[in-house]
Amino acid sequence: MRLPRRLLSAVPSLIGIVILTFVLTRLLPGDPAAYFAGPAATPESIEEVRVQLGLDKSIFAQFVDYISALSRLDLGRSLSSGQTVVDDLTARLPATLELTVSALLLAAILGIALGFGAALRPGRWPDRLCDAVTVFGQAMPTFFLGLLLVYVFYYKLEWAPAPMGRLEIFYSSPTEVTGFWTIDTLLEGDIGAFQGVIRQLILPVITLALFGLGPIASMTRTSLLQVLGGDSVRTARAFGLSSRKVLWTYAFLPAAVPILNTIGMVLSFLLGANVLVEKVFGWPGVGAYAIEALLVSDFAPVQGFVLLMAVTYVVVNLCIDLLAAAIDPRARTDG
Amino acid sequence: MTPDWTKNLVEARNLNIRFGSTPVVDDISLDLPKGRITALVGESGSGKSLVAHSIAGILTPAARLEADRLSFAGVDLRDTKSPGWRDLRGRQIAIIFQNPRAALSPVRRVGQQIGDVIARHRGLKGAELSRAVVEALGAVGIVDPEARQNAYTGELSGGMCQRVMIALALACNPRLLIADEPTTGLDNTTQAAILDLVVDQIRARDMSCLLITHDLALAREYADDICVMHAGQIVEKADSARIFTASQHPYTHALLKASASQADSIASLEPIKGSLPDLNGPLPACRFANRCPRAEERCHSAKPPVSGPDTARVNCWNPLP
Ligand SMILES: Nc1ncnc2c1ncn2[C@@H]1O[C@H](COP(=O)(O)OP(=O)(O)OP(=O)(O)O)[C@@H](O)[C@H]1O
Ligand SMILES: [Mg+2]
Repeated sequence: MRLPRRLLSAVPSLIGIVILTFVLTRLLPGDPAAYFAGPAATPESIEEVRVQLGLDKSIFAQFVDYISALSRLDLGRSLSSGQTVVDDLTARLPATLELTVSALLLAAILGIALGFGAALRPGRWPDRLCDAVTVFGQAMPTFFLGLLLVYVFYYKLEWAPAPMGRLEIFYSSPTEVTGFWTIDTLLEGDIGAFQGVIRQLILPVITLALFGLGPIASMTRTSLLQVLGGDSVRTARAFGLSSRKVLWTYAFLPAAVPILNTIGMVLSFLLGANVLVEKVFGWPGVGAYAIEALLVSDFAPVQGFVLLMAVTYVVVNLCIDLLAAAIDPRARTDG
Repeated sequence: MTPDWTKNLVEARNLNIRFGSTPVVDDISLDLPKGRITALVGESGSGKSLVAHSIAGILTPAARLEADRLSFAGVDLRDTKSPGWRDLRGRQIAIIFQNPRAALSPVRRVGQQIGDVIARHRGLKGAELSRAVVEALGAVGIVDPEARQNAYTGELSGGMCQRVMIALALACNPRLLIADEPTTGLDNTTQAAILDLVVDQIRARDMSCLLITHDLALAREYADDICVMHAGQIVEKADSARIFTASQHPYTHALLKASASQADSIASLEPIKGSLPDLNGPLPACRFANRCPRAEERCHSAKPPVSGPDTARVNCWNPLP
């Protein structure tokens, strides 16, 4: 009953995204027909290309074309790579996902642990650390943090490998099964390559995770403190339940939904922050792909990237809402 | 230490609770004998809940408790960390609260919450546990407990939440039930139904009860003994019938006159003069002295003596005859 309704409620957002990406590409400066025709083109050949691309039609007809192409999962072609945007994105998405998911996991685990410590010992060191991390995460632009880490750990200390992609060249990259190279190298039993993948991941993951750590830790702290000070935890204690039971079942569970929502929000931030972080670390993901395309006015990849990120955002939030409803009956208001 | 059931259930001697330098509960001594319902009556802010919480072991960490004795069946309650004491809470001492919806967890089915307590103290598992949960819910008059055990508090009325809370409290057959204003916030009909239920269960299970209320009439209807508190001090303790016919403390007297059910008409209602003293300021030895029509010099300077037999004790320099 509830699931289909929640799924339906995501439809307007998706429609909005589709319209937005369409409008966005029409608003970007420059004439795509001129770009496609190349520098040596005559006005006639540009006009020819315009007709080929369907750009001579009315806006409405163009929109219909765009929708029908979308429904065939056709996002156009990248000028720079010559591949279809869908192929390019599919090839690069696993790299982005591995980076983002690792960073999110790290931020969530550390953030929740830190928030727990802060809530259980208010005013003591975990609490201070929690504050410090929050302030740090807010004050430091991600790409700058990335550059700083590269400077210190690669350039100065030489502890980290060169920030150039997912694996140093003297390792052979694994055959893609999951697309997550940490898993794929293990599947092949190539421990050396696995360690290589981890080494490459460490700095960009830390860069992204430090960014998400603050909000997750401080929300965990706030939410948990509120529940811990409340009547239901007092009841659980008054009835002699074990501290573990009180902490996990009677304190953490009711505090989980705001934490979950914060994790969702952090993930959306990370999807944006990826663009620059991938660039800094030479990471072959969709973010770096989009920014390279943008720099050469290659709009189809940009459009595809925006669409992909927006859909990911909607899907992630949908999952978060469903998970929240599964944990907390108070989150089932639309049911 | 193992409980000694020949003793009074609760014995408190010179119990003090302070927040920082504010002495909120002042030198209270109170016995809760077996098999009796004792009402603790007083205005809002007089410290009733703090006394209840100190017995239930849920004082906030900010509160400082000092007492010459605070025991339950001989077990020292001051050391809330001792394993002997932890085994008592929920098993022998249970508490129900004013706001049952907030007191229960919103994210756990009510049956699971009762199950948690039963599993903890009676060690039941699986089918036996589910049977005990349904039984506990049935015992407090919940219709169709099989279905209701799957509800969340958000799906239940206030009265139903309080029944669940009572089921939780009685699930392990404790010896003492502390009821902290269990019906404030419920409508009159539900209020009576809940109190009838509590008292019936107390009598049927031969339990004791500390019933906290600010309503003297309600205390007389349901309690055997009434203990009157004012600004953190106990001023009088007597049989509930006796309080009404022969109250000795001027504060009790004033409370009776201010209580609608006692007055013959609206015109004879007399509000109590003044308000509770500011506990942060300098306090007279008897904290009622500044409001008391019978106050004397020594009421301000020296703790009033305790006089009278157990059935009619009063803490006053100048009690009513
Ligand atoms: N955490 C706290 N910090 C400081 N003072 C407190 C705290 N909790 C309670 N008090 C003080 O203790 C006094 C007694 O509180 P208590 O809750 O026991 O009153 P009560 O008699 O139960 O009142 P009510 O009928 O409103 O429930 C109050 O005056 C309050 O100011
Ligand atoms: Mg109270």
